[in-house]
Amino acid sequence: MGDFPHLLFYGPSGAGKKTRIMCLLREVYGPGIEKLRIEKHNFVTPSKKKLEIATLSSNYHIEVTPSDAGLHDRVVVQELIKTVAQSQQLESKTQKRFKVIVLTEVDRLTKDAQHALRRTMEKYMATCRLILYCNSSSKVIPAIQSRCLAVRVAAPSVDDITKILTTVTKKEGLSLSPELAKRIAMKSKRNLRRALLMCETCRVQQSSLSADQPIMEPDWELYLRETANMIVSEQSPRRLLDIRHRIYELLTKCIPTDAIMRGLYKELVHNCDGALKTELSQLAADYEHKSHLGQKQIYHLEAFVAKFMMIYKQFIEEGLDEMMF
Amino acid sequence: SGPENPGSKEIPQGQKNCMEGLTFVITGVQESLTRDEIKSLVERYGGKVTGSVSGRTSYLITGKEAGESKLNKAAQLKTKVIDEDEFLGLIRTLKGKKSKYDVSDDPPRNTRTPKKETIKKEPSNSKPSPPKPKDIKVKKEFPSEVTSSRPSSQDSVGSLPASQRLVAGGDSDQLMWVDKYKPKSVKHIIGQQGPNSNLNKLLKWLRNWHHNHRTAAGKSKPKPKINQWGGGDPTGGSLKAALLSGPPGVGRNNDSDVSLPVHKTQIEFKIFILELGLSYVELNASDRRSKRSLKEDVGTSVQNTTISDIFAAKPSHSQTNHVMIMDEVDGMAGNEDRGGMQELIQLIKQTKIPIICMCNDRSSPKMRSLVNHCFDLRFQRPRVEQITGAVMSVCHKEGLKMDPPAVQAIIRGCNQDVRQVFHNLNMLKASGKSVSYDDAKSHAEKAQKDVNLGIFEIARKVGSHLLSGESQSLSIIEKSSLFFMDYSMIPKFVQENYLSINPFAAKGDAKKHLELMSKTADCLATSDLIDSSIRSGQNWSLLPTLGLMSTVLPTTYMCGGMGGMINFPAFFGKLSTTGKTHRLLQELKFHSSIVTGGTPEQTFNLDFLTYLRWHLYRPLQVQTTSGTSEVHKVTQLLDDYDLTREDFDSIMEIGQFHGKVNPISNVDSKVKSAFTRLYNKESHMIPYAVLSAAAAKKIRKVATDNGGLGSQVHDGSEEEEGMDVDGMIK
Repeated sequence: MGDFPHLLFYGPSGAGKKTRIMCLLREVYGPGIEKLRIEKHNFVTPSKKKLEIATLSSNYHIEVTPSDAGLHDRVVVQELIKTVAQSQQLESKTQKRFKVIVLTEVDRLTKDAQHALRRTMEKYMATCRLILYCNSSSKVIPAIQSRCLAVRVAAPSVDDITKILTTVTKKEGLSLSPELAKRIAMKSKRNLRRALLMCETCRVQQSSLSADQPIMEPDWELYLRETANMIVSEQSPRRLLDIRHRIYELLTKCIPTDAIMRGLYKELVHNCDGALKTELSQLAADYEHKSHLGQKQIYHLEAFVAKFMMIYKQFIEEGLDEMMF
Repeated sequence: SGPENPGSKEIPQGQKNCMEGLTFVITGVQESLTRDEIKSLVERYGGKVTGSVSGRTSYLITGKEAGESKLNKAAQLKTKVIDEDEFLGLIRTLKGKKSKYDVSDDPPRNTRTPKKETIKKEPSNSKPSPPKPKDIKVKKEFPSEVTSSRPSSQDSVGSLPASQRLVAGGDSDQLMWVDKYKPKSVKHIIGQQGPNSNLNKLLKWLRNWHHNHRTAAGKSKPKPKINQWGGGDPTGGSLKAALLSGPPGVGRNNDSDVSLPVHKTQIEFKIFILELGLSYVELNASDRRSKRSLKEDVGTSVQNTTISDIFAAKPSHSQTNHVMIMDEVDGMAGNEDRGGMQELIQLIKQTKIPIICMCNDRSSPKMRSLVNHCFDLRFQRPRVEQITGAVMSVCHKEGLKMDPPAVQAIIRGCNQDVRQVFHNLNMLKASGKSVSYDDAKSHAEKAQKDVNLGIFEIARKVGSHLLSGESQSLSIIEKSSLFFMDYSMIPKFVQENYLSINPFAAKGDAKKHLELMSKTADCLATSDLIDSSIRSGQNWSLLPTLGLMSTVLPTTYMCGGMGGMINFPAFFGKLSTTGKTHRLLQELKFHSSIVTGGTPEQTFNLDFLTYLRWHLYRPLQVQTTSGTSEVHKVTQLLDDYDLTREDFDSIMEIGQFHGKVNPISNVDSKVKSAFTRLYNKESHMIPYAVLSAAAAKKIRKVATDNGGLGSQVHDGSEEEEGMDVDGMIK
């Protein structure tokens, strides 16, 4: 008993994937799994570039983010994971037969790395189990998906989050009004991690929590919202230039393109109605897809904004014309 | 922006040279002629077009959207202001003149003494070239008695052996012009005649060298002056070596008559040095210049006296006629020349004779250490005007009739490469006696040389051709050939700047403008897809398509007036900032991973960062100078997450969006220092090794100590190795 196949956890951020993985490992290996250490491993790519990858490990498992190595993630998969997977456990009586390798952010792995993973998963089944986790299973190649038992972890419902927030605040000796709990849960977009952070911030802002107190949102989301409002308020090449600077600002803060695209879309779609809504959705999907194929993200984001500016301007002017007649 | 009705007016045929001596300034958009067309008209008739109105401007040609400042200035200086029609009228009415440059009928001026003509083959013939065993060519053209009397150029020429003169005089008619009109003395080198020219500076420096250094060398104790390397010292008196630098290729190997004594211009250096009556030792890239060979071969020779000096009557004059030339110092690299640069610097410090170093690329990182020890002389390409005179005089001597504008057209076409100018003229001469401006221009266009453009030249080209109204008249082929000048940079220039163009096609209609803008952006987005396909799949055959999508189409859509300057693509800067943020985030994630259970970097950035940052700066903000210690909370929080003081800074930096108030900026500096003090005082248990800056330095020092002096500067890779020592080992 205590055995399991390769696993693939997927679901939105703050839904509890990692928590479930840790619970599973604890169930299998006992509390020893919580004694963690961090290490750095060095690799040399075939092109003689030196890589350094940080891992988090206990006696029973090792956690790696191969995508840290960027384009060279295949080397990490080949070298590190294979070495760990190949080594046998010394005492198979008291210990489990297998080790566990946790791979994070699998959806950011290159195709090459994912293909390199396929064989490893089959060959070393006897000595190791892989647990992969990622936000979206769509970027994991089907070959890997079919080798894993996929576990979808959905975002907790608003009610769930409210309940958890109430429990946590009770343990902290605070009283949280149901209204505020609900507001936080809504604001957090069903991301439990964020909800807890918001709640804690609220507590520091105001030692006694009141129902109508402001809830802090991530800076980048605010910045993105301002950007979207700028697009709606004026459509001109000069404004696009401003938007470009703002998008650059977000990109240099390592905000991923799809997050920017999603954020812009969600804000822009509020200002559209009917036909324009579908058109915008179509556009956003189109340009987001292109941005994944391309390399210079700014080109695609800018093209998206430019296109939206054009159709929005047309839409507004048509609306005005209709009003006139 | 372009003319409204191009070609609508007939261009009259004027009389020859009717505009000679007139200067024009063009402003605004004309009805039928473009700026270039007017310019070429003016030049055809002997006139000149300048950029701004001055006292010497004869006419200001105005059109629509004329420049305000130019008009004002013209009014102030009472310059005649004319429009296009009047300009064409001028061509019709102005009387032709005889050009003062017209040489065909003038009696040939006797510019050169026959004596000089005879010695065109300077001693290069007589070089005793067989390389000596150690690859050092030691040349001693002159016995020391010549040098001791410090001869003028004429004297030194006169002292040439008679046989040599004969050899040189005989075959001058068979020679190409380039060789025929080789510079024979310092005075013939173009653009270096002025008292402040580099060559003169060098001359002075060499003359005073021994005077400046005798004491220093004698006592073998550096004068305090030596420390103010070059700074503010225009004569370089305190420096023992000179560094000559300048662009390669164009006009280097000493072009006829005219030339810039840049790098590799040994010939004129030889002339030059010979004029001073010096002998020299030369080392160039074909010689091995490693640390050892320099030390063994050259090190002794720079401290040597020449044999003739030993036998000379006055020992105090020893070594005054000896120079060492290190050519191509920027090419000292690789295994062969390992440690050569350090040794050279060492040599410079000890030398008893002047050392002249030459290089192309003064700004190269390899040169950085050397520059400090050298008297820095930078040579530029000679200007068109500087070359014109010399070329005209050669034309005159050869009986080739050419107008100055025609000559200038050729010079420009050859990119100021004097040698090529002469070859071209030589060829023109073969086909006829006189060359008109139009012939010359078309010829120059054909003869145009391919040059490697620097990034700023590319920017200028993009600005003046692609991203301006001019692009209207360019064909697809022309545009895509512009793209091929640098297929990775030009698209980025287009992308950076297309938004500041006011396209003609929109005709002021905002909606149309937006449409064009969106089309352009789409093209650029597609070009990115093509680009990544090229680079990831090696599909280089797609390059023309990339040119079409990234350069040709966007500039066709957005063809119009450019508001403001061309901007350098921000893309690169942003990319490296992104890289830096990514590195910082990875570090943060690594440090905090035990507590956060290995939260992925992205999640850390998107969810955690804002809140963590807030919790870190909030206590500092509310901290009053006398109140309870809120600062303690910050250090506690850092400790809880296993973060360091550096991480605190990087969190503040990553969370800071442009245009937002920096929460740390209004924190009292006392609080800040209290925080730093508290943090340093406490001991921190962190589950990883921190490679602090000091430790890193120490490791590097150890590495270089082991590697010895030689391995210090040369390869960046060695330094990296030093850094790569495992972070876990303290």
